[in-house]
Amino acid sequence: MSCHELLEDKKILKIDNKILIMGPPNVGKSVFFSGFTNIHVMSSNYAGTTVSYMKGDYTVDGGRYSLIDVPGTYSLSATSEAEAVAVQFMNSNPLAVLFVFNAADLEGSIKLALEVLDYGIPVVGALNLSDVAQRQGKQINVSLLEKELGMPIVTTVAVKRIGFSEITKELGEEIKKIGDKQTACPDCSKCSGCGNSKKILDYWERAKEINARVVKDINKKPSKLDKFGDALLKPWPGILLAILIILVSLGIVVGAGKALRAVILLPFVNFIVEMFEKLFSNFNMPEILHNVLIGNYGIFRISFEWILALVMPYVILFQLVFSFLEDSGILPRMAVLFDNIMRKLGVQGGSLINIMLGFGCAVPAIIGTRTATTRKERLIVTSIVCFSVPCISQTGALISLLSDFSFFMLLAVFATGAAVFVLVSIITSKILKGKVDPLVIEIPNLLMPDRRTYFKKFFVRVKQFLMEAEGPMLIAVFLAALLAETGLLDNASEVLKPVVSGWLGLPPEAALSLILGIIRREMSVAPLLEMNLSALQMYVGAVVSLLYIPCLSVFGILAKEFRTRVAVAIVVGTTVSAILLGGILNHVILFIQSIF
Amino acid sequence: MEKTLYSAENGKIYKVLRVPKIELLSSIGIFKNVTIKKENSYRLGGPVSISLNTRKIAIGKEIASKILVEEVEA
Repeated sequence: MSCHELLEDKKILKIDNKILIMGPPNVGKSVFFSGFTNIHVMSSNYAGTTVSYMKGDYTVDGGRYSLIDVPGTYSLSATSEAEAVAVQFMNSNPLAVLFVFNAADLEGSIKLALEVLDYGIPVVGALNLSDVAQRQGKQINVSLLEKELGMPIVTTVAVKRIGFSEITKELGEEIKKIGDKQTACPDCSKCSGCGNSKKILDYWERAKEINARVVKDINKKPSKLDKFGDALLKPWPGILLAILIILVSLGIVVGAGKALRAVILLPFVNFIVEMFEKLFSNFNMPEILHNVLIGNYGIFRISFEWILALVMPYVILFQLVFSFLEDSGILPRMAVLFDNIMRKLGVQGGSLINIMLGFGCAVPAIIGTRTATTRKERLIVTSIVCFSVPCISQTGALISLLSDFSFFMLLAVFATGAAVFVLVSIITSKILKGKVDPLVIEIPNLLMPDRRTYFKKFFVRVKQFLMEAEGPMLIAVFLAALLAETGLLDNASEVLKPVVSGWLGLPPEAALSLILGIIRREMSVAPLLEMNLSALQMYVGAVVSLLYIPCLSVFGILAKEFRTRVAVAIVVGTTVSAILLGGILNHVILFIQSIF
Repeated sequence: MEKTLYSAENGKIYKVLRVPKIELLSSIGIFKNVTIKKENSYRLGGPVSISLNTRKIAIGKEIASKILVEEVEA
């Protein structure tokens, strides 16, 4: 997440000239932040996309300020880790606040705004999602709202950048006003005057009054999108629709991914590799060097074959599909529909969003678990993601390995993964102490993602993948080339042979999978492609790599988010369970085969 | 007549009589005397979904069984 300027440093609370972006969850605060600072921050259509804060430079009237994207809160009473961050920021003596209102649900926003206003800091309002409010037939009297709250308010549609320049202007005016008088509170920590002085009910009371005066509902027929959103929330036909959406999404990722690989990327890669073959044959170099460069496992062969042709098509398709699911508001509906199943597994429906995030990459999924209200829930979801959810790179590699053999093989491996998923969640929820809070989730309006925002997000995601995965993937490729082409692998294979061949029944050179898999998940699958495996070997190899260590980046994020102990426990647990289960499956299937 | 939100009938309007002490509920806007509409319930221990003004909220079974409501004539 390095390119995100994800800051964890407490020092940020102390810097001067802070302008905070505050507001309820899922109103588009991050979209404003990206627009004003040109730092792209992930935004989606569900509460809790931003779980930590972001800092960026923001110029108002020629002055430079630090704009901070604060995670959304329903109140300033800190019910989760993400909300606690927001309260800390309000108490850190900020210069001004840009408060983002949800025009489609004004009452809740007004209530939070009243809490924010009580801190005595200059506030500028952005009445966002005004297009959604309009679609729902709501007329909002903005000048009356300004008067009631005593703050300037700009009507905005953030994803279309409507109202951005007016906000900067208003913030400039407010800051100018402060220039004349000194800030009221030089040190917030010693002051008990602001925040939480009133009961939460008083705020709601007042918000209700203001809302009634400001919003006029002209009864408009619900749009098709709203109707579809409601249908998707009903058990019938919602569950059916949700399953269809999942199947169609999978179909697009697998089908279009395969097509992209076969039609465009594979021919392109073959062309490049041939070019390098010709190029290197012109030089009179020692055989071993030639092999390291362009042999079967040569750097210039596998770096293209594995990264470009094996992994990229599925990464691209996954991001296209998943970004749509995120931005439309479908995911929280699935969280509600499948809450009953998730509860039986020891978690709650809301965790489903983080688990689905894990099918892209485990790192954002683990960071996303910060929205969980208990530590137990965080640990269960993290374990599920680490043990049983393959990231998209690995899924891509598995699809290439297995579906060329038989589609049923792919299904068998994923069914095994699903079984492990169930086992892991049941076991961890039994072992871990503490409790998991039941689901309480706000369901956002269904939206058609804005084209510009959607494609920007897609490109940022793919770029981010390239920046973060490219290094480790190339290291894995170099290591593979060195090990395989210099004969070092034979030594390693000899050592690991009892495990790899004796227990797992794989060819000895599959030791390479176990070595490369430590670096990145898909690299434990890629070597298997070159090995002419039998059906059983393919199944066992795929299952082992599915369960195996979830890559170095994940180890890093585990150590950072939890303790090193948790990271080590997960790495040891995944490795042991992968080899244990792989071997058991191998022997059981061999035994069954011997009977028939 | 008093009912729990969990057992209340779908599609009807209710006044909230009692809410368990859970901070998230009050920050999201569910407390005594608020009027809500129960929208859906989900089988096999699933949550209930309600609408509250313009918001739609889903609440897990354990909590919904602790929220007491009373039907209001629409």
